[in-house]
Amino acid sequence: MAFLACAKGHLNSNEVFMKKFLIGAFVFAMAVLPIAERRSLTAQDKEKSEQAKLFAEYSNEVKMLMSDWSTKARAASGKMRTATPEERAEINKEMMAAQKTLMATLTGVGEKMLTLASGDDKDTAIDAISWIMTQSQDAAQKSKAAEKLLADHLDNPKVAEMLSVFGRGGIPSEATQNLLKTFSEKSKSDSVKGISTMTLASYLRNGKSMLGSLIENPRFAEAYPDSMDYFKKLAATKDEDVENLLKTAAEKYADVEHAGSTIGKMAKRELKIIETQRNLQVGKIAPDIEGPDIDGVTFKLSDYRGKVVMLDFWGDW
Amino acid sequence: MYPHERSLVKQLADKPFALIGVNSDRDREKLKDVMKEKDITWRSFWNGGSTGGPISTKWNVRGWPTIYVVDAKGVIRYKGVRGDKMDAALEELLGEAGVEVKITHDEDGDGE
Repeated sequence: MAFLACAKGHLNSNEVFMKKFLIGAFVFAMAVLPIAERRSLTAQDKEKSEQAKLFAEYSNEVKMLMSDWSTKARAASGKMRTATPEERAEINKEMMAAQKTLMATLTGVGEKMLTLASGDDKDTAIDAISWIMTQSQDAAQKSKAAEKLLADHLDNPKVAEMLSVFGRGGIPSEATQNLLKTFSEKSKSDSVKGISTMTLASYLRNGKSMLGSLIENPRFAEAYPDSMDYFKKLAATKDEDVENLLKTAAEKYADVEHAGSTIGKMAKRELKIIETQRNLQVGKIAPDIEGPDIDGVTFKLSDYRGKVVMLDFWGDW
Repeated sequence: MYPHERSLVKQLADKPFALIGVNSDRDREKLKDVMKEKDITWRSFWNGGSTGGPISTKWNVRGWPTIYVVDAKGVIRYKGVRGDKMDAALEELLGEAGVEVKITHDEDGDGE
């Protein structure tokens, strides 16, 4: 994550530093939010286990730290604007120190979460794993959490739902992709397989479209030096691979319920969008348009065959 | 946008060229006034009063304005070209249709 790159990076200037660290804080908040929301829904009405209480305590601790951190970051970036070079150096030093403390605390909490991930209360174990996978900055902790997930929860639909949150938000990673792939292939539950197959397809498609232009951006490459090889691979995903996954999802897991719909419906909708995009590529015959003009008189795009047409989707706003 | 488009429409009036809009404004009556006021003479489809209308959905349009250039055979040839690149694209495609033109714009871009 940018966050980590920032802590390790060699800083050329204050500005680069501030930019990186604000991006980091932002990405961080984005990754944390969906999980936090989900928790408040699932954990409420249950008699809480010891394990669950500890989980609440640890994650709260981090939430407070994070909010503290963003307040500091905002204040620092405000001060930067009017600071002298000496003052800037001082602010940088303070922020680096604060970041180091934060990272150390996160690593510590990550270790405690790993213990919770092995506890008897399966729901909390999954929450702890989810926490590590989204919030830990420690690669070893993440891979341990992923192993736990595969070993203990391969057939649990709750995990498939959680993976679908990972697959749709945050920074793409090879670990996420592998996890989705394993769940979609190895689970004994049709529900898990269906949701994971669908999520993997969306993950690949979103990753491809998001990274397509980003990987050309030098600032992006600078923020994620270790991930660029993977990002390039993801950006080169073939449409065909995505379509095959969606077809599998639509054929084998059509009735699996997910996100207020079914996998069959979701997969078919995605397939249709991909087909539409393919039909709109340069070199394809333009899909005909038939509809009313502004005065209500119906006409067709194909009426203009034989002429060069500049088709302008516009609005006066 | 409008001056450049007005200029193209004027210059290519007797050429096999058409500028066709797909308009996603909300208020059709207000739009008619705007078109009169800004001298928008070319024809537009009405996208049902919303950016989520049937035509922009079918064409998977996510940003506005979005421009496609379709050749005389009905094939999509360019996407998202503007300014000079748009002029070059039109010159090329009109050339393929057997009409050599050189598009020029004067300073205020209205082609006069």
